[in-house]
Amino acid sequence: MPRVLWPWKRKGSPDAPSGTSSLRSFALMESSPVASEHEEVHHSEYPVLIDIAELSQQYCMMDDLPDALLSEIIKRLTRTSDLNSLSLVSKRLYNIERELRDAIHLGCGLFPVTLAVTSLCSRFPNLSKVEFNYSGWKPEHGIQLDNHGLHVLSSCCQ
Amino acid sequence: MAAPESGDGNNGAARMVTLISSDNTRFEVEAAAASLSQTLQLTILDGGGGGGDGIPLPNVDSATLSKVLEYCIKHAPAAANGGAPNATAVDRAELERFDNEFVNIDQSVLYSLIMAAHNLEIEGLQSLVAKKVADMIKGKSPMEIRRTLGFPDPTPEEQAEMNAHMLEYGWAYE
Repeated sequence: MPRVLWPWKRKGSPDAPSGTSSLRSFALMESSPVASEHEEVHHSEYPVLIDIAELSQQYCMMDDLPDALLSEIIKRLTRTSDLNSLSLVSKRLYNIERELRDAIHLGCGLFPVTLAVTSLCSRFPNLSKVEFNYSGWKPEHGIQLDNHGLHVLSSCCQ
Repeated sequence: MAAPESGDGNNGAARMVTLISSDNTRFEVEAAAASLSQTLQLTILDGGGGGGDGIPLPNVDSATLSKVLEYCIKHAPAAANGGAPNATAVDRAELERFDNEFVNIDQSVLYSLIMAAHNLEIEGLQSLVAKKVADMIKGKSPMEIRRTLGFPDPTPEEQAEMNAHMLEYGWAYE
């Protein structure tokens, strides 16, 4: 069996193929009858190189997708918890996700609220809906959105 | 990876066009199927892709193109019906079953497919794959998403940055 070369090795990927399913399928294809057929036909020292060069064109990771396509994927996530998790996966996903987020729900825990609102608006520049839910408010939560807070919020709106 | 054979026995009823993948494999398909691609539709309407000429697709390799065409051929009849308002429930269920099976494939192929669908402007296919990838993300923690989608673990610097971020925005993750 010819040795396997990995010309498509990417930055950040392990040297040897490991657990991911895509890499496993490469290993399977490499030992398939197609590979041995090439071996007989070409009589070359690196017969598998041809197959792998072909395969490498197909090999693609999520991070290879352009922003427009990552946005298409993110737009299909509706639960805030999924968006929050995704935004902590990579800096790039974080930046795409924050541009897309158009609604956010806030409870009583924000203090001081004006500071939180300012930082919130700078993180999510395209919000169209901010929902405050003050049910369950207790005095120790501190003063929530008052006139000054509303003024700060409105000054963040474009 | 074999190209679908040309429709020699189709009595000349359906117009055929030839598409050429980046690795120079020729695929002959019905114009109606290829026209699911908005990009190709314009060329085909202009009379391109027929006879000995093919339409070169330098961004799509043969493995991806054969998969794309499998989708187009399956969806062409419904698309010709104008989104199939008259389709029977059985037809719709069959298409849905096909779609579910179709995206039940290796991730790297999914990404190649969505790139091709994007380049060729095949809206249904792009949307199908985007939904599949989104489904792979749902309900997972950041670490699980990284493992599932093959993102590298954060470096210590990135982790520190993330911790600082959580300190500032932790409340937004409630």
